[in-house]
Amino acid sequence: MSGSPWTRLGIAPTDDQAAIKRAYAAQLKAIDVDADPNAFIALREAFDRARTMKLRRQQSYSAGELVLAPLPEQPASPAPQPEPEPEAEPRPKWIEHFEAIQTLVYGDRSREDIYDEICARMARLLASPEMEQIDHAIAIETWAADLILAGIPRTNAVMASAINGFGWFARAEKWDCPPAIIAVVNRNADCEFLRAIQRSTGPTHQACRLLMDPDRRPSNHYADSVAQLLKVVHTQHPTLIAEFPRESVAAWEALIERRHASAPARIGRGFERLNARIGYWWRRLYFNEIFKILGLFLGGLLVISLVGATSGIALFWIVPALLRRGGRSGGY
Amino acid sequence: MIVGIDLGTTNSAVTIFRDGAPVLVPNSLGDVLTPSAVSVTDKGALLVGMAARERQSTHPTMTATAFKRLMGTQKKLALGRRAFSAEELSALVLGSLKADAEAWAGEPVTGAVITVPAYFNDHQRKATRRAGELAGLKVERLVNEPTAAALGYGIHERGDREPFLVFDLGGGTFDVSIVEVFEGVVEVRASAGDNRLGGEDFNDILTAVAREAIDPAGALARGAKASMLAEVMRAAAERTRRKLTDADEAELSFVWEGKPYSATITADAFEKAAEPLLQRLRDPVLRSLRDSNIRVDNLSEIVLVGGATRMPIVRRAVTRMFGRFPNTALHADHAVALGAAVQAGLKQRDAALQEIRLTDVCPFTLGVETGRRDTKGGIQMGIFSPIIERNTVVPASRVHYFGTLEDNQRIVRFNVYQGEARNVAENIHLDQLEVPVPPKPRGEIVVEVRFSYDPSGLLEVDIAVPATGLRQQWIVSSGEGDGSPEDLERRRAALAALKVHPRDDAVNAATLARAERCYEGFLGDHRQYIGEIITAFHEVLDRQESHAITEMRAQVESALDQLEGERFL
Repeated sequence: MSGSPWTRLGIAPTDDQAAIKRAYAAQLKAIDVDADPNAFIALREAFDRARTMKLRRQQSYSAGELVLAPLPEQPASPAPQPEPEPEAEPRPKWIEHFEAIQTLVYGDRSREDIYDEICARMARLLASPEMEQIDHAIAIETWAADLILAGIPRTNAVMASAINGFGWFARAEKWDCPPAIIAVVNRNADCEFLRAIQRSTGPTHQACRLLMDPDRRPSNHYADSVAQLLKVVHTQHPTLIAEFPRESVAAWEALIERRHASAPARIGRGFERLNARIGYWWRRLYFNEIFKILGLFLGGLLVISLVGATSGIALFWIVPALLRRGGRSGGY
Repeated sequence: MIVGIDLGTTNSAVTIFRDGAPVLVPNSLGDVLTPSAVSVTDKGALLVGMAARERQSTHPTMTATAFKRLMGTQKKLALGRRAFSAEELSALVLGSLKADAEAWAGEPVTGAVITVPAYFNDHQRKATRRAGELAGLKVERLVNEPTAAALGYGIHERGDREPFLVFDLGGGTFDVSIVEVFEGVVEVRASAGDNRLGGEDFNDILTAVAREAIDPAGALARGAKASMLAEVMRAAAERTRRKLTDADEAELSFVWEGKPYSATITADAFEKAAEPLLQRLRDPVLRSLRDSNIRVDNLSEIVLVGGATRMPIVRRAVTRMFGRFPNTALHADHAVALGAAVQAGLKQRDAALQEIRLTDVCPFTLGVETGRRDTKGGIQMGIFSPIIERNTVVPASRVHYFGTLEDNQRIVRFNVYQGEARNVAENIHLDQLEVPVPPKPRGEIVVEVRFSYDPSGLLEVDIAVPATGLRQQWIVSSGEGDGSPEDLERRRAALAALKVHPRDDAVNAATLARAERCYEGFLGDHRQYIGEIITAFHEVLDRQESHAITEMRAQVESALDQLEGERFL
């Protein structure tokens, strides 16, 4: 749409919402919407633009305020106060839970230590009678999504109750779901994946246990399964990386990188390029790459000696025998 | 003359804009509400309205109610020998309302403004439109129910109003709209709703509670009889629900196969059982507030509309949600119909409404299916890409651009959907459109898609391919059952050929049906007494003296009122 909205509305640029509405109403009455929908569409666009020009300034201002409120440095900052309470009245229970949860999330106590308390507090916050009020519920919902994201992994405990309490599974299916809620639902899926691994048996489970243990030195023996797990985590469950001790991940990744650059790995990748099936079997072998190469070398020797033996037999026994037969046949 | 019609799940009403104000038109029984019920008599004649409603528990297989819930589906209801679709049944109700309006105003009805739940989807809207046409009405416009209510309310005092919320819980559907009035412009800011939530669901809850007390094993009726018992209990539940409006407890009682059954239901037990339904009221409210970016604090009022909002448990839930008491000044059953008349007046350019304008929104999102390449290079289809977002003011027109996904793609196919889910499979499919494109590497061809949506629910799609200069235009039709004009005309003729019970006799039919229902519902002396009344009434009817009939009818009605409490709509 070209031109200024003010020309279409027929007024000078203004911040006065009432004046904008008045102008829009006057213009609207001058057109026949049914007969000329395009005139209405143009007018409406001008009206919306004129209004948001002012709104945008207001919104950026209030957004600044909102960002300031839940910063970790000031855990005890008051709620976004859906219900401003006068001093004289007793503080509603929900504010207590609300503040306690923030203190727990941004506090110094260990994750395991706060688990039960934060769960209980969140459950009571969600069950508080004020949640029946729509405005309050909306404010708490927004706060909860931001808090859970900001407090990863300390907020793992409350994710499930928040998702169920606010119906975020259903909401994440909608095209216009806020990114924060989608992020929380994805984070929950990541945690489910982790729990599934921890319950399972096999190499992935083993790899996960090794990664979790910061005292365990990385070993070549498990490097491949750990590498595979890390790849899945990085590509499909990125938030999970925070669940593993940082130094442990770094140590394993250094080992994996070294192995990746080593000669046997290069040979392995060569096989992969040559033939996908051979490459697959190569990767499947749970041996140190050095042993694989050694095995390959010995296998090669064996093949060569076998070939040598076969050709020797052929040269010194079969061929002369054939020649002898050939000589006899010529006698007929 | 253009009339306004509120085509409800439980009751319908017809209104006329006259002398600067909307007026409710009484039907042949003198009531302004006509039950949305159709029944076939033993002689094969059609009964519409009160008489049909009264036959629901006595002749459940010959009677249809609450068929609005089936609008937009292909499901047929068998009444006696003939099967009717929901739109045909609605057409019969509309036809009866049309006759009432013509009889009352003394001039022919040419067109109608019909109200639909705001959250009715495209299929349901088209079915409503067809129902109007089958009844011989030119449907001038479909208007959303909460919008109609707000229109009637908004123009009342001619003053500006801060945004207010219309909470419309009817017999079968629930809608929420946020409306603002300024300078004579009634502007809907957002609408949201639930198509399957209404008073009928609360009746089902009551029935379930009563069943728990009376017949937990389900031993009273099995097989084909079970549906008959369900109807009997539903009628009893409706009565109980109304009693619970002013009392803390009420009896749910009925007679089944000659034996009386009853259960006492307390308001607390009802509220507890209805909790899941009350929870479902929250979601549309949340959505409308989010979409309009309005806080509850900034709402000037919560206006209740729809018969089911009379229930104290609903009022309490509303009060808790908004932290204040709702406004109950509007007549819950009449507000929507009166608003429809205002819209009809606007349509006729009534002088009294010269300074009034209404803008409404499209309550659902319209878009197309798109695909994207995943990390492995495959194409993942089924992603919904919105073009006109919900709660956009209509008429509206929006453009989006899409690129080709495959190398040398020759055709771009657009599946048009309506809904809110990211995955198109959960949305409603409206149409499929195709345009040819020149073969080029993927992403090089851009297709421009423009959606234009107008207040009557018509979606027009323009697709342009700048690379070839091709331009194509479609009117989206939702395929199933849309039918050609000839087809519609044939169905209209078939409906018109059905024998309808004479209008001037409707009131007698209603009284007789009521008496028969009461006969089934009472035992002993009462039953015998009602039997005698029915015989006497039949005798008077046979003599065909209008004066005597009127007198006798009044006597029958008052006798029945004494027995079972006043008749309600």
